[in-house]
Amino acid sequence: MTSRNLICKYNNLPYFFFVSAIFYLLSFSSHTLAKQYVVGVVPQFNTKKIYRIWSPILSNLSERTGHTFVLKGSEDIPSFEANLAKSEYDLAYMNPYHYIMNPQYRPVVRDHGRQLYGILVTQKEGNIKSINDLQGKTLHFPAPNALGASLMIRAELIDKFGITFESKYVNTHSSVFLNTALGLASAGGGVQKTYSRQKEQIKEKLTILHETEKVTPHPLTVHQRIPKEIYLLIQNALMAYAATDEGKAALKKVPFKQLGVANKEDYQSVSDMKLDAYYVKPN
Amino acid sequence: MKITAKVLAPFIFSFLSLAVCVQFLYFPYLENRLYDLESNRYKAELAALSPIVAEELFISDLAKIHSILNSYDSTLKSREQLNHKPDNSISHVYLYSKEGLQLFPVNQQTSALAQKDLTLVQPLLFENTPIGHLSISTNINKSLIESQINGLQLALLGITLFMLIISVWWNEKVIIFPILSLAKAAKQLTKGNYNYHITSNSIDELGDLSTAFNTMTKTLSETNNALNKSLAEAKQATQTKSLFLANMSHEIRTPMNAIMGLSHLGQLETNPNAQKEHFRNIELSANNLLTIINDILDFSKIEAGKLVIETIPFDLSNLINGIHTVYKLQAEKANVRLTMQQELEHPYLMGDPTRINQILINLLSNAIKFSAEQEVDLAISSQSLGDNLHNIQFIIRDTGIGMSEDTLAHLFEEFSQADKGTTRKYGGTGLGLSITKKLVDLMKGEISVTSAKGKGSTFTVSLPMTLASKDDIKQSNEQLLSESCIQGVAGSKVLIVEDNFINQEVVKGLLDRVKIHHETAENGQRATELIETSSFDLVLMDIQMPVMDGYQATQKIREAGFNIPIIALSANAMTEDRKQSLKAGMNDHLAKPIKPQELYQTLLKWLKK
Repeated sequence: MTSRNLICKYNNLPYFFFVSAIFYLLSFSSHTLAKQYVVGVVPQFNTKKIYRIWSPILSNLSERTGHTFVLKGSEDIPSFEANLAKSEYDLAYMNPYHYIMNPQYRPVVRDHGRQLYGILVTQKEGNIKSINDLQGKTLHFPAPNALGASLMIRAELIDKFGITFESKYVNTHSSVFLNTALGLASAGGGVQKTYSRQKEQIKEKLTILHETEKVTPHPLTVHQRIPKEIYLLIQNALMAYAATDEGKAALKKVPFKQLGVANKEDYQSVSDMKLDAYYVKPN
Repeated sequence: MKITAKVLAPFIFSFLSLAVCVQFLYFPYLENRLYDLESNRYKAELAALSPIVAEELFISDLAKIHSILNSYDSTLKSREQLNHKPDNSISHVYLYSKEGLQLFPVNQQTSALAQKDLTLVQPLLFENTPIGHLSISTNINKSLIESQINGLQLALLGITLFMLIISVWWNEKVIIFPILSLAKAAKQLTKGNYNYHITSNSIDELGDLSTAFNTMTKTLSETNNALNKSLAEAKQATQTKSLFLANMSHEIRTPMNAIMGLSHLGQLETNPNAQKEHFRNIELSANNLLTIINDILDFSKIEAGKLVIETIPFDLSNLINGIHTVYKLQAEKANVRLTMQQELEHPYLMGDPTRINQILINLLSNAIKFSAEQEVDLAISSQSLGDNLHNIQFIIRDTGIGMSEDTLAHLFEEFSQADKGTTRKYGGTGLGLSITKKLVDLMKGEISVTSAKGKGSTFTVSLPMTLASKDDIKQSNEQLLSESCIQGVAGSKVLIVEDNFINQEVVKGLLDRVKIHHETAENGQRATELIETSSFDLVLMDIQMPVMDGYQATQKIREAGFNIPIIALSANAMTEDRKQSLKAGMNDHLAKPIKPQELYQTLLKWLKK
């Protein structure tokens, strides 16, 4: 899906243009050249939901910086990853592994309120009682390159526990949990957040067999080509926005439970995981 | 069977047959059909779901499958709830892996499953490899179908009943009611109630029938009334005629009695004066009788349209004087004072003196008869109507008993007299005034009467007549000859052909008085023989005779070449008879009874030639 289509879908389109126009004028008055930046967001949710979450944040950012930020959607994770690789976005919200893969981006802010880790679930009443029982079994994951639910678990199982297993990718976290609960998979990879959202009747059939090492969650990054003062302008603007109640509520949906500044060093642990070996390149 | 039942039976039978057919043929079919429809629907839905589910199952995207099946499950639920399926009968879809592991729903709903009576299974194939199966456990709601059928049955019953009632009502109104009212009307008609009228608004054949029936009733009623009226009239006429006959009998017998009695007494009487008195009375009675008979004959003639009014010159003064002379005596006898006024500038007129005489005599004799010891006045006047035409008015006024209005109304009708009492007291045939009226009509005149009971009556007769010249009268007068005038033909020889001895005697006597010689033949045969042998100046020929009648005899005489005048002397007094006589070759016709004056006049006329 293109960015133009996204704009078309925006409910307050006239308002959006109006605001853009205002800031354009303001930028003239302050003798600063107003610029437009393209923003990309990893499609963990459907496009509509992403738009709903990010529109208020970006418009606030525009207000605070005097620059325009345009959201550019992507059809699925592989196409997002392709766009990232081509540096199509000026700003990008991505998972930590994406950041490791795309060092041309610099982290601006991240969530300081939680950490990212994968969980491995199995049937509560099933015959898998320990990780070692998974030897030679079939495990389900939502997608090959899902950071917590797939890459980190597979990396740990193999690197840490020396388990060999069959991997099957069943598109969504829910499918993973269902397959596992119904006994089609010996175990399945997911994350805590999606697991907790499952229906009780699923959850009651499952048990968490293993949790992975915790890593710093998704950063919002700015491309290296963006000047340092703009980088700082954006970082300050977001931090100031996060200080407001409105900003706190808006950012929580990203999810940025507690917004804080992000550094390159925050993602060293992810880098150390050497996930490249487990990354499956899209066809 | 009553007409109602006859007309309605086919309708009721049709409706019932239809209802039975639908009940026992259509409804069972419908029930199966609904059942099949329902199960086919589930089958079709499962078949439609299967490729998507199979594809997702192949990649184990159970979340997507669950989302699809949940959506289908809730569709089933809401649909079946809309169809009033009880909650424990709601259908559910199940998904099983090829190993038989239940993949949807997560928990087995065993309690619900117990209620299901139909399980449809749809195998799931991916690239022709079975990878599991979908199934629907459902309860095709038989009771729902049955209740639907029951609803339909009730509706059908309702509609059938409704249609039946409508049909019955319609038939009742449109066919049966009109027929019944026709039948009722016909019944009324047989009872003689012609006033019964059918009210029908329909414009169909039944309406036409009703209208025709009404018309028929009306016509029948009118015909019946007319018949009743005719019957009453006929009865009245018969009664009147019977009465008339009784009167007539009485009227004829009275003078007859006198004639016969006096004849007998005359034969026994030796005193010539007394004999003469008897003869005079006999003549009087005979005249009365003749009047009566003439009345009857005149009436018959008028009725038959055979009375011919003559138009000859005559002197009205003479006629009036003659009447005056005759009736003065009669009036004196009845103690009636008869006066007469003539105001005629020009008494010579063209008309029928005989009939005018008859009219006046009728009216006068009535006036005298009904005015005992009173007064009768005859006034004659004339008014010019232009040219030669005059209106001659005769007014006969009496101060007699007069008449009621009721009597006046029927006065000129035949066979009517004022009342039976009148007949008894005054006699008469009751034909006089009727004849008078008819004669006046024939002369294109008018007759009217005013009367008051006890105060007398006034009859007014107006006759239009043209004036005649004095010469016409003179010529006519010459014909009025007295006995003395006939002396000029004395010594002529006449053959009397007559079979009746007394009539022979009468004619002989009359001829002897004027010294005319005569011979007698008793029939036509004899007459022809005598003509051959002797020489005669004239023949007086009776018509009805034995051996050979008058017509045949005359023809023979003419055939033999004799031009001798032959005069019919017959009791056949009608105009038709006269014509027939002339046709047979006779020269003139005299009606019996013979009036001497008439006989002499005719003899004079023909002998002089």
